[in-house]
Amino acid sequence: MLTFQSVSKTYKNQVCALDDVSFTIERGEFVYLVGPSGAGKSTILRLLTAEEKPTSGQIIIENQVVNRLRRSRVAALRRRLGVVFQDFRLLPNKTVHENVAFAMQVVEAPVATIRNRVPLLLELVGLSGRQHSYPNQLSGGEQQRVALARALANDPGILICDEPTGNLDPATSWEIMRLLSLVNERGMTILMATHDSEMVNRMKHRVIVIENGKKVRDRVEGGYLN
Amino acid sequence: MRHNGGMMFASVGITLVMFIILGFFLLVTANLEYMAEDVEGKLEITAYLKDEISQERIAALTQEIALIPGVKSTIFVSNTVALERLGERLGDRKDLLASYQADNPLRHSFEVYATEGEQVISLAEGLQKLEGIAEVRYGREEVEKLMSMTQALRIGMLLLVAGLSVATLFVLMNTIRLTVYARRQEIQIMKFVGASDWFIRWPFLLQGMLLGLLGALVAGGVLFLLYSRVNQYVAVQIPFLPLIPMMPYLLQLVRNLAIGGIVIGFYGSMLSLGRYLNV
Repeated sequence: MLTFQSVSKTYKNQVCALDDVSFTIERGEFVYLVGPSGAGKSTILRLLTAEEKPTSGQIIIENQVVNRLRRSRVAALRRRLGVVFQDFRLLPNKTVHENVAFAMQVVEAPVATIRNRVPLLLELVGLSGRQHSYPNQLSGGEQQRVALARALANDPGILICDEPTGNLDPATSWEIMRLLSLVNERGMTILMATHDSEMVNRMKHRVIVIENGKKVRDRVEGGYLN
Repeated sequence: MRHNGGMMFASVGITLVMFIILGFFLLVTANLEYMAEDVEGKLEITAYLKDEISQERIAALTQEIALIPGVKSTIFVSNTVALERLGERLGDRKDLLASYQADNPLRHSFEVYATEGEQVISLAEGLQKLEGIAEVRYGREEVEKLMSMTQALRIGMLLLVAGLSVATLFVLMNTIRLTVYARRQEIQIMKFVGASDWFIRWPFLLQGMLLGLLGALVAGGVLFLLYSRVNQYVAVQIPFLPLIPMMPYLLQLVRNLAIGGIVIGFYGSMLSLGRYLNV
């Protein structure tokens, strides 16, 4: 359902970020994308969200060729992707509830749907009592939960996580990972870029390793090194 | 938006100034054209006679002029009558002409009226050829002078408008850009959750158009007041000077300025959003 076909990407400054990368992720899979910083993980995520176009090759999500999408269709693609960032990216002047509702408002969801769905999402991420708090009143882990609730708000088919635990301590990271597993068990496809090797080894899922823009390993049984 | 109130004020201010200048020039050129049309509509031609002309020739000329096709009527104005008329126009300063009573410097003339406006030029040319006519004057000359003046004004105005429009566009662009910059986080999140370009754009476009409209409307108000004062003054002090009546001309002017303000605001917003929307 998500396929990279011989994808290469060379940026305008001649930096070759990806070199002939191919892989397929099936519906409902949980996949780690690992590798040192600068290896090309972020480029893969940016190609998925159509922020960048590949120099060659194709990216296919649910039978749709992402790199050939017209500009006006990119918004529709992004509604089918949920994105979680390392730095949460919450709006500081909006409450927890408003941050989640914002994602639904901007895709023009009916008011009644927003009213019903936001509490359910906050319950899922365990923040039911905090809906009126502002981001600066929350811990990092709680902020990331809000970001996760927001990413899930428009019921995407794929969840893309860019170092979701990168700013969190190990205990909090573990909570977020358990939450992601829960979401995955409910059928969500998850692609998570990380270099948290401990996490990758502890919670085993398929691992795709990228180094110097090349895919060097793709292990379904999981585990970071060895 | 509340973070850059000063910038907003500046952009409305500069739109205001630009539209006042623009409106002022529009009013001046429109009035000059209006005057030109007014003069153009006049059917009177004055033919001055040579100084040494004989009484017989004047009598003959009266006949000859009446026979030219297109002449409705003709009146002979002797230099004595001309001097009296001048005296009337000077009013209580009439005494200035006292020394001319003995030696009249004015010329005899015929006032010729054409049946139609289009015939004035050919009629004047015909009169010029008659023996004993020194000079022919008619409203068209004034018209041509006025026309060449409005032409120059038009070109100047066009350049001015182009320059001012670009300046306004840049100021509005900068204002919108500041707002966009202050809200770049929101825009980025909107992009990631799949908001359409138009959904993101319209509040900024609305802001730009409102700023432009506000500037134009205030300028329209200022011009309205200014013109009504000028109109009143002219009506009393220079009654023979024809000015375009206030209504409905000034309402049209304000409407056009408002449209201009909205258009500039719209393009200013579109241009300043372009880069931020390409996420």
